[in-house]
Amino acid sequence: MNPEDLSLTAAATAIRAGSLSPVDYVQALLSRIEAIEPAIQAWVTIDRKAVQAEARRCEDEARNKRFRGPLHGVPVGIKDIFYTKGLKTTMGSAVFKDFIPDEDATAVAKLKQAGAIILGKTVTTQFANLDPGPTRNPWNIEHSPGGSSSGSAAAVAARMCPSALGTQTVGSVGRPAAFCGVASLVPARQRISLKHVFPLAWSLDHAGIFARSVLDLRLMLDVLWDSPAGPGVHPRNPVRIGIVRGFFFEHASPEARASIDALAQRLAGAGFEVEEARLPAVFEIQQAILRTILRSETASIHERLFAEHSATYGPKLRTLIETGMLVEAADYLRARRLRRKYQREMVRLFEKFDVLMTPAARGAAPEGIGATGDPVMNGPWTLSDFPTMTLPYAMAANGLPLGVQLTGPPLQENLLLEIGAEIETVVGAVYDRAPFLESTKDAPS
Amino acid sequence: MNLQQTALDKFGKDRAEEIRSDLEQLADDIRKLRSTPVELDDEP
Repeated sequence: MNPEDLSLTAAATAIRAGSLSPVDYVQALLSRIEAIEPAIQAWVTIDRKAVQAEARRCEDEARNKRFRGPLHGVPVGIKDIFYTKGLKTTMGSAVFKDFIPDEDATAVAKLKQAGAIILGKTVTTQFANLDPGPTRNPWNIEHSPGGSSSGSAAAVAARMCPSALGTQTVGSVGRPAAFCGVASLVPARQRISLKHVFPLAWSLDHAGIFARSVLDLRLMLDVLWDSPAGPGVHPRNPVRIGIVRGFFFEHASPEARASIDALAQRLAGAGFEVEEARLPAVFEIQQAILRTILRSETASIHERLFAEHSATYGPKLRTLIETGMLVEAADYLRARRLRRKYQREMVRLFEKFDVLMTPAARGAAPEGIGATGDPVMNGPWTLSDFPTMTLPYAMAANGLPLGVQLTGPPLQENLLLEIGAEIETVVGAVYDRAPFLESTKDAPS
Repeated sequence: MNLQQTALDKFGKDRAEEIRSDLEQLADDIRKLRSTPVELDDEP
């Protein structure tokens, strides 16, 4: 197997066993990036010399049986809104094009402590909102990779790195994971530190992980935990899955609806208990709550920057900020209070179910890279702060992957990972090499 | 609440017109929030 095809867990294990050289591994990934990056454009900054030097240090340590942690010598990608010490961090904005932080985001520091090599910074949409960057979908470069964590999802899908960090304020991890055919995890907000991560909306921002298996998501989360997991809850036997149609099916393509129903049947056939889950009445106002919080917090965050650099702002972020300037304090507070009510009523769904299942996006990745797709499937769960996972589970008629979104009870990431791993064995891995790269591997761009 | 007028004062006529549909959505969102009861225990 080529090193670039290794999963995160397999690579970490091989390095520890001495059967994979960190230097060779990094070189394989850099060669792959060199070959396909002109077509995919997933990266903003890669300091090749620094990466190779770090790989040599990891290799020397490994040769002497000294391992920094569970990710020793494994390269990962970092969305370009996480601060990286000594490495340019642009937030996808011309305003920060030369910004070099003098410290790491806490999540980045934890990855380094675990032995990971920071391979580079991946493309984010401007300030992690909806104005797209240059990244293309590795399955078909005429399609969007999603956003805002566009580069992280595309890089993992295209075998340029085994895992990457992203962030989600509405649907910026789950949606690109679905479009690019990779697994993702967005744990509760408090689980992964957002210190030194440029915010989009403080109370909605979450860190997230991209990888190519549930096992790899777990390995990353084990390293990134910022708050103790607490007592674990194990799934009931049989696992009870609530399929949420209603709002989610109204917004899904006919193909996505049919595919999710087919998946439900497969899971039922495999021994899962699958029943329809009914949303509470408060769900009707979830978009109004989310949009009001998002507008108001984003406007506040960008108050000074926007006043000084408005010409550099993309049209979607500009509109978001301007409408946010018009939200009165009482309405913002009311939205925050209604969010509590929403969370309180939504959590009752787990009295009957272990996990909830919905499409992860309206359908497969939309054609064109002028927009990043609609986060409508992800926003309700980001607002709830329940942990979510996206898994690729089928291929659409146009050859692009479809993703299923699994949601677990509050703070029950371990339960979600356990059930996700069981579901993964039923759906099989759709993490195969992207067809575009197979056919044009030697002649990209 | 006349968001269109506030936007006109703040951003000018052309811009207020450009973002008219967003302003309508904002007004609709706020109307929904204001018409949904909250309890004292629902802290922000």
